[in-house]
Amino acid sequence: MRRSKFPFRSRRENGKFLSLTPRGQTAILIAACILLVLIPFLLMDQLNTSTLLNIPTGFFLITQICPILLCILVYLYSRKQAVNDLQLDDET
Amino acid sequence: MSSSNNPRQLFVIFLIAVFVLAFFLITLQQIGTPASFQSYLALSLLVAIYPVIGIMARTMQLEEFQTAGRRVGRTFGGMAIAVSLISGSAFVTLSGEIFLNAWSGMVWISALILGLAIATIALAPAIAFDKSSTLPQFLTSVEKTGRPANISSRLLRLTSLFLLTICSMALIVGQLDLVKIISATFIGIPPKVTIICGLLAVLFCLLLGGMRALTWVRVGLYVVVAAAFLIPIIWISILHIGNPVPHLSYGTGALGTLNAMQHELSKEGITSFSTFGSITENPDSLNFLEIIPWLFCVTAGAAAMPHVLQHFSTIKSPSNARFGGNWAMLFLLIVLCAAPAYAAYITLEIYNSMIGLPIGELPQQAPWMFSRGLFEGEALATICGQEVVDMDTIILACGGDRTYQLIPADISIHGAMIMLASANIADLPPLVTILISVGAVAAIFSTVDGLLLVVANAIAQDGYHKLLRRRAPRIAIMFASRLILVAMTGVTAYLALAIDFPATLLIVGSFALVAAGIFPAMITKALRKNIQQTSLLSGMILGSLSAAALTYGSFWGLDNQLKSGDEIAYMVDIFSFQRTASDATILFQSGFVGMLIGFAAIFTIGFALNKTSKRTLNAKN
Repeated sequence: MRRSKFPFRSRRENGKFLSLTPRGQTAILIAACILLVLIPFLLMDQLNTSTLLNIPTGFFLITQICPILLCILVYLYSRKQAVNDLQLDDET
Repeated sequence: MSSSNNPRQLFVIFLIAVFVLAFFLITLQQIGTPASFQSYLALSLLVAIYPVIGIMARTMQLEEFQTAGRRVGRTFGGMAIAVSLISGSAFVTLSGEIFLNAWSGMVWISALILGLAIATIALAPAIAFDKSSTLPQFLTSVEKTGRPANISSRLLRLTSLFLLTICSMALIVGQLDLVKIISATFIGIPPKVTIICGLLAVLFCLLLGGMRALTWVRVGLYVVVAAAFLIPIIWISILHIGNPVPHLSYGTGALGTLNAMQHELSKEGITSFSTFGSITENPDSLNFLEIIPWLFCVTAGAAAMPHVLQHFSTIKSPSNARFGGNWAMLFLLIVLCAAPAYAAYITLEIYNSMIGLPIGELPQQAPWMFSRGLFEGEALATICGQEVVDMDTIILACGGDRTYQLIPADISIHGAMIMLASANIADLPPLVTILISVGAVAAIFSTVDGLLLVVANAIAQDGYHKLLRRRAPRIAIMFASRLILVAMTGVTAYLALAIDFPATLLIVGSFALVAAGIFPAMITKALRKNIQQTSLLSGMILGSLSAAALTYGSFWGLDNQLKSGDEIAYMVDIFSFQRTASDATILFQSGFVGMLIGFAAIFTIGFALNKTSKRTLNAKN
């Protein structure tokens, strides 16, 4: 196989581009999960409907929605990885 | 597995037993049995779970003892993982954290779920595939069987074993300290009795059944903990708004009403006093940059905590381990997301029952405030800055007028009261208070049992077998594990009973150390199977040492004296903008910096070693 001059293209041609390898997918998903959980804290100054708990009601809502989204995201990823895992199951 | 040990059958028997006992306790209450008798009975029944399951799941096989035969299903595995993360501290203090300072409470909830998500995505399939029974074994798993281990492999095993033992011991002692407080303050049983009886029951169960018994105990404890956490708040939610799902109802049921009340108060001109007072002088109100170390440390701690990860090795295959993690996230979410509802509804209850109340009527309207004692050296409730012990002191503190009407700023309530006294505050039957206390003790022991077993197994497997006696027969390893279990239980009981540690700081410190020392190595190992052991070792050592050094510098400084004024203000400038950071924040900041250093060390040294080995290979060719 002809090797590309550019490392970026070479990795993609070899199927090793970050998003294509299982390791890259895992890393991207972890980063996405962290971002999802950080969203309410990034928005904490904007959500200013104060209550007696000294905390915006909207913040409560988002901090509860984000973990639910996180669960769904991880579940979908697990479903997607089930095929790869089956190979691992066979090996084990 | 015999039919009597069929997991589904066991689970159904356990559920029926719980309902029968609940019915029995309700009957006892109806016929007027004293509350103390009911407390003793409920706690004895909880403690009895351990020996009963221990006898049913007894084993003499090493595989069963260490990994439950790798036959645990995804749903039950998920329950066991979830309850190991709902530790006593989360059960007792989470709602109170949200009540006092919602940011830090919500950080804990988000971080615990995020940690479990990371464990599910990256660590669960790797651990299940690797078939390692202990954490050091997973980290050193590239070495081939039969080949003598090299020095970095041995050092890595030793370092991970040391870190695992330190973190686990800190967490066990922290959790047992919470038992002391709950037992004395809320159940009315001497702490010594609760700790000794609880630890003996745990020891008996683990000695007989090891990991197999632990898994089924944890499945049972999840039911107890979830019931104790959810039943009171569901009851309160039904009383207020008729909705049995507090997770959904507290927005309109409590927060909306509280907003309207605050609006009314501001019309009356008491806006500045419309929030509750604070018992601690420095309530930990966090800014965004302080939240980052909190979030990442708790996340990393939850993801790499050994007593959580050990359950992934009991699930039968990588795909099942992944789905086990998914179930655990769901079970965890159901319980933890009820914590904000507690904070909201209990705030509303306190407002309804106490604001505008003439102070002379306090003993009739809020008897739960009186004579609760101290929680980690702090009063559980104060009125006008005075601990609520007797009426005369309070009336004097509030100006000597019995008709003085209370405003929110006069009332300060410790966070632990929000959960543990919620049934009293909301005027629910006394049996609910007993249920909550028993749930708290169950949550604490569900953490303690797993940590004891994981340390004993790791020392026996990696210390005794791999480092001292490589040809040890399997029966000898299991015997060593049981012997270490007895010794560990004795040491932890002594530490918890003899010395008064600050429970919260021990728990926070344990999370910080796991984040700095164990997490970077675990996650790198899970993502890169053939990473050099030297780089993992350097990451663990540098990460944990830097975290320890920063913690020491922040608390003791150069003159080795606690908070004498010369402490390193390294992080305060970066994260806290010159504010005085709380002790927990300092520990989390140190753990966060340690974690970054750990990752940096692993990647840098791994990269350098790769380069060197490539050069050597080229030179040879």
